[in-house]
Amino acid sequence: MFGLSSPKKLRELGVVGMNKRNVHYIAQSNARHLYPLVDDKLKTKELCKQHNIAAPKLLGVCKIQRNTNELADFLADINQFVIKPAKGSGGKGILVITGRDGDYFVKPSGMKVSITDVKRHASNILSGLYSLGGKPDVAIIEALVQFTDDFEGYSFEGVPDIRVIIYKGYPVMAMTRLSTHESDGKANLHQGAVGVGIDIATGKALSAVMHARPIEHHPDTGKRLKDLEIPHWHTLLELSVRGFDTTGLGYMGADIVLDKEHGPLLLELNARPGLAIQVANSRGLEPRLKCAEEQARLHPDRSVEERVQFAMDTIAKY
Amino acid sequence: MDSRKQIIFLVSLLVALGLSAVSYKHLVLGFPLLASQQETVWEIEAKVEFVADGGPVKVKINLPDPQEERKVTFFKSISPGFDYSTIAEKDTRYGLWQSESASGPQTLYLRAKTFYADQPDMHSESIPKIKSPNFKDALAEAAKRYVTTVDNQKLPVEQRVQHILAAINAEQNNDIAVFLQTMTKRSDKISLAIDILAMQNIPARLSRGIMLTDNKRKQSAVLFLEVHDGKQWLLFDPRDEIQLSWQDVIIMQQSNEALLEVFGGSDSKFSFSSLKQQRPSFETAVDAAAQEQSAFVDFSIYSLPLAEQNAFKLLLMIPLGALVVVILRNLVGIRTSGTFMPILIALTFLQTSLFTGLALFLIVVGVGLVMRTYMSQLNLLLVPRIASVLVFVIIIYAAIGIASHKLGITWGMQVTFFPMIILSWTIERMSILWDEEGGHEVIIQGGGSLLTATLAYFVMSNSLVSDTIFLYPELLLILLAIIIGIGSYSGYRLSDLRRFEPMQKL
Repeated sequence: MFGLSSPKKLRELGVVGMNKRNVHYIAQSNARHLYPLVDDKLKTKELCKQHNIAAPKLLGVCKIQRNTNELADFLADINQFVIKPAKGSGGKGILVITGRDGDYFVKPSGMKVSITDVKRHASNILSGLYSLGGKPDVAIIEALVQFTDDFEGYSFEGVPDIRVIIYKGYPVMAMTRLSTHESDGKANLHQGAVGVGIDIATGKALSAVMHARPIEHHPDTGKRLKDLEIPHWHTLLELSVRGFDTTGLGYMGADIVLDKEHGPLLLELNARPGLAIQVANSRGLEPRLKCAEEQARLHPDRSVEERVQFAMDTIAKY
Repeated sequence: MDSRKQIIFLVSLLVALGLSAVSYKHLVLGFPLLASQQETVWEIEAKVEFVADGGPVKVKINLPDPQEERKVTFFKSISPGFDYSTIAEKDTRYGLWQSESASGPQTLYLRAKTFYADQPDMHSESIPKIKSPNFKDALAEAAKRYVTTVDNQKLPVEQRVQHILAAINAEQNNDIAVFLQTMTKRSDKISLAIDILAMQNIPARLSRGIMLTDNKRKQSAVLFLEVHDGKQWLLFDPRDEIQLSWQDVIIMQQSNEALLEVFGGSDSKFSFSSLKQQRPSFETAVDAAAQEQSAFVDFSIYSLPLAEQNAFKLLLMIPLGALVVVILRNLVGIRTSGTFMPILIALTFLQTSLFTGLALFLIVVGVGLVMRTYMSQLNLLLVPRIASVLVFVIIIYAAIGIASHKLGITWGMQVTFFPMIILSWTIERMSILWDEEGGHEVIIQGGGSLLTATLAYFVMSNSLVSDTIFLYPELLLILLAIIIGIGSYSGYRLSDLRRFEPMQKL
């Protein structure tokens, strides 16, 4: 009624709401002191390096305003890169450069930007424009992921990434976010990217949504989204689960991209993953979270491999 | 204890504390439940004049007996050169002025503000003893004849009282007129009425007091006739032969002792004046509690000077605004630009009125956004950029102020009530939001903020709500309990129901 569903119906579907996520899952599973590990992407990168978790290569860091003047020289030989804030949230402030056109840098949309624009962007990041609470930040420059051709036709521009929700060390739900013309190459659902729910058991697409409404085909390429299948699925799940083992965050989202050469790379971790994944999967998280919680209690010593296998065999069926 | 139990415990504790404080103030201290109630307060001044002989002086005045229903909000003696004290002797209270030596004409004042919080309860279980009169010969015969005629008429008590009073006042009833021949003093005539009533088995007594009449100066103490009808005491005005309400008088003295005694002086005169005032009930209740030195009021906001009280009156509103924000964000799921920015905007609306405030907000933010859009091309650093937006905001304020003055629009000047730093940040945040997520998101968050601010304004501007919370600041504890309760609410938000609605069709 009035475009609203009844709370009873949502409970039956096992949908987790915002308050429940905040009060029950985030507040109780994620210790406050662990947040900086994932909120500061530079720290996450260092952690990945220590634990040999595959991640996009870190090219450099702009730590102080003076560094931005050195950008022109630093970027002279780099044609493809990403500049992003270490403490950004919601995909804000990420500048993707996919090539050069003379003195100009080219964005995924084909728009050209000058070195002055790039410097200004870095400077904005440093002064805290994109960071939580406007605190001073650093700008990370990392290699652009050479994404696989497996997504050909599924993504309009930019790098499709795969979000896996990990609860107490078990992958419970996954989706991929396909950028569209509307989302300007960015993979954020509220900016107009397409969310496709992925079967934990197989890596195959389940259902797809755009702006929280179900869709069948990609709005720009027209490709049938149901046919999507993520390669290296098992490796990808293991990679995401290892994110839990290194950070200790009980409820988190791992964002993973697929590189042509390197396979799955951990892009970033998120201590407050959104709930849109439920719509993309057209399934509620609750039963899966309960199952993972029980398993974590019963078998605290399971290896990464065992947990991934359990999730593929059992959790995926909920 | 796990956190859930702790929260339940804390919430119940806060609610219990809040409710008990409120009920204590209401039931014991007589605070009204609604702040809008008005009360009639009487300001009474007793004036004693006499000529002192030159030696030690002692003036004793009979004070009204304390009554639970009658509250005194102010009591003061104005008597230069005299020490005043209130003393109690044998169930009666006296005011006592003393001076070592005084000579010449003296004037002493006693000022009090008092009101009846309730109808005085004059029910009395014990029926007082009746003293049979001791009339002789012809007088006894006459009295008996009068009583027989009245008995034959089978009148109720009230009418019997009025009958005898009328007989005494009119002096036309032959049986009663016999008595009056020797009487001059009013008190004797009333005593006669008491005796006649005694013969009819009706207990009665004489009392002295003040009639509460507005703006009457130089009244003297009036004599009253109190009659017991078997259940309660009734009050009669012997002069006008009418029954009076206990709330219209203050009885100073019920025994036959002197109302005023002056030792060491002569030519004493005693007069009253009374003045009626209408005051909000809660002010009177606060004053009454302060007079009784209740710690509850002594250590409260009411003990502050009036200007500070008004500041707190506004501060007490902010938690209500916070509650609105909490409800809209966590139960409804409305997104706002800046968590508590809507409260500050709502506070501004309180000063500018709603529509003026909304219009001014939209003008300032709209013009600011246009200017800020140009600024983004200049590649400025963050802090100088916000500082520039701040300067813009001031310029917009000035422009609106001057333009509205020239056009004769008075409300334009109210733009200065808006907190400019908050507006600058709002413009900055909206501008970034526009660049990153598009105008759609700006309208959602901006609209959400204004909706929240408007609702907060409606709650905060409601005088019933603001007066009640000022009257019972303990309600903040209950408010806190509600906020804590919502803080641990893990059910769905209204926005969840909308957002996940597509899922129920799949």
